[in-house]
Amino acid sequence: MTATDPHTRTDSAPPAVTSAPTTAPTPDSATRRSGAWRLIARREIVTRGRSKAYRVTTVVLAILSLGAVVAAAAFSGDDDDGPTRATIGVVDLDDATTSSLGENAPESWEIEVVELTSDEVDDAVQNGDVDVAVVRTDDGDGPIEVVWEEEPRFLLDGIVVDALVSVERDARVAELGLDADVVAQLDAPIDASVRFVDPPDDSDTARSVIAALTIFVMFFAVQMYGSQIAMVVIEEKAGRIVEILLSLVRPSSLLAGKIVGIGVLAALHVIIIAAGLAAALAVSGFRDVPLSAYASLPLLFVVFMLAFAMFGSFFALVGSLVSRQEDAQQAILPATVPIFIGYALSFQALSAPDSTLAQISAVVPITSPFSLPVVTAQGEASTWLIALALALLAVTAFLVVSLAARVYEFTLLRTGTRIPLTEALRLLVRPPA
Amino acid sequence: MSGLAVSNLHKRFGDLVALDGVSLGVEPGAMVGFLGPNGAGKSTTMRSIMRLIGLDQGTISWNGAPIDESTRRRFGYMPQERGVYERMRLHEQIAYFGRLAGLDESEASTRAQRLLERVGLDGRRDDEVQELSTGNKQRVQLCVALVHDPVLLILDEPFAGLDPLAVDTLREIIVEQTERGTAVVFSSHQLDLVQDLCRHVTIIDHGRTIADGDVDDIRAGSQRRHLRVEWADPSPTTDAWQPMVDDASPSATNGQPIVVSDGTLRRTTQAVLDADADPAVLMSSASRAGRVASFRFEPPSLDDAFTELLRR
Repeated sequence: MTATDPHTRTDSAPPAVTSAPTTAPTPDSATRRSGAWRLIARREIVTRGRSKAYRVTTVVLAILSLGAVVAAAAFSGDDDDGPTRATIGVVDLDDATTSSLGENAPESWEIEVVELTSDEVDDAVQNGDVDVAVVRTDDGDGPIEVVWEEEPRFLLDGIVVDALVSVERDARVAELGLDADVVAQLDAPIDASVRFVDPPDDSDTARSVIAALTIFVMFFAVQMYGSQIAMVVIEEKAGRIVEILLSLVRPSSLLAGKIVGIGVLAALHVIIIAAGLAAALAVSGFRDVPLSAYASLPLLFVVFMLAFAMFGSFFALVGSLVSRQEDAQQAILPATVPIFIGYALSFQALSAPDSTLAQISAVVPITSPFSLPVVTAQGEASTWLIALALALLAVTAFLVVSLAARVYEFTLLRTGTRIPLTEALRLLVRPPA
Repeated sequence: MSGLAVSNLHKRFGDLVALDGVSLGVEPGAMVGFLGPNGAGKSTTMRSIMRLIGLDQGTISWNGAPIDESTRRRFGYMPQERGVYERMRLHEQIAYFGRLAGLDESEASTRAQRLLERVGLDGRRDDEVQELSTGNKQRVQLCVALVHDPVLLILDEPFAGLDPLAVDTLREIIVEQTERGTAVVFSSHQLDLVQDLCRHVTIIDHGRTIADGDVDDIRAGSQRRHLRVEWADPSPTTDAWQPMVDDASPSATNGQPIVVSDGTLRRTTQAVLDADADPAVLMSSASRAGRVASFRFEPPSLDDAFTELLRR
């Protein structure tokens, strides 16, 4: 209690003539004063962490995170840097053509050539033993036939045709007795380059995935665990436990203990999701995931802690306004409104992170918990923007926590009908006697 | 003075006057019943002793000094109804409140265990409170209030809703506390229950202390006496009895003879008489009316004495 505490009696009292019964404990006040919030936090962590709901959520999140890693690893198999394989069956082909088929392919291809008899061709193609068969018909005397199952395989058909053409072309050059220089000139590469207006970029995809998930994580953690703070405050008030608590600890310790305790439980879930996400990105086939995309994960964590203190203490405040569990839903509504606004605006930041609206919402404290990680993950947050946003968020969180602690002190012991939020805030200006 | 001294408390909630001059005192090792009808201001007084609400006027002191935070932590408090976490295990819960009161971990745990054994709940130390009956919940609440070995115990309606057996156990434990030197204040609106539990009571009504002292003194202070006579045979009638009462208590303007009929025979008679009625005269009158099987002449119950105080 402070000197301005309304309960402090000002009447001049005789000097304390304390004579406690010998059985009374003599608690070390200094230790306790600093430690009460820790005891309260620990109780929340132990009892709530033990609950079935929390354990189930933890397991589900862990499975989802692991699943994401496994899926990312599996997905990356197709996208691997390893060679593309193909098998070509040949029948009665001359050596030059056979070796051309095996060697004419680009470096990223690894082609195996197998000899077949003409009887085996259809079955081999049909079964997939070979991707394609190249057959010299009429037992080696007829024209060449290329055999596919249903339709030519993309790129492989070009490789086969190129191989056949180059052999045939060499033969014709020799037949015609063309001058080597002339042939060289004919073969000279043409002077042309290729340009893509919007080249595919893995880093864009990675950034979007991270950004979208940060929104989800922030919303899930703040909304779900924030309302748990309100619920436990209402539970304590409805059960009059708060009367015993407040005869032992200060309201601010109570508030701090609740926010830290439930915050730790929430943080564990955020870490599970963030770690899963980072691991999934690492094992996925995404090349060149920019460092700033990863950097948004620790940033997400810092922002989460500040946001949780801010929203959490507001949840505690609105929870302290009612005395019955039945009023809980209605009571926490005002605390969820800013969260939904921040959540909604973050989608704007997801689709257009460089827009003015997105940049502003990344800085304004109420919306920044949702938009800042998104904009950062998208690579559109400058260092000063991140610094400014964090500073503003920290200051706001501090203000909301201290404001909530003050109101909390007045409202916590008031039972009966619901106290309007406006009246609670008025208490700040004019504390009751 | 030593112990708790509450003097002239005043408190308004808006237009509602909750306390209008409550005074109360209890010495170490003593037990005081704090009585009054619902809404009299008992809980408000107790909450202000625990410094849970501020006062408009009045003083509260412990051993002559105002109650500061560290003093208050040595008080044990049991609010009316619940006051415990439903979904927390018994031992864990009691130890937790012990920790909050400043005990270290092992001491809190030891004391919680000892208290659970004392109230006979040690077999359920790891059950959640919500699994307990009302009476057992009340025991856990008491353990929470006792875990830090308080110098003052404030119990708000500890006996409400308990069966006689549970009342007895609870009383035993409270008495044990007083024997160790703890000052105990418990409130109740069931005055008749209390007159058997403790000797000293403070009665309040409409936020004001209206009586304070020994239960017998308060009862004896009444201006009425209750008379009850039972005859073996023959049965006297009201008509025969009324003159006797008038005889014995000439100023008995409040005499209200009540006749209890037992079939057609009237064997028993009760009357409320003025305090100056002479029991000897009544006894001899009764003997003349028939063979007396039992005769009682006594101050009213605490409840009746209290009702009378209110009318005054």
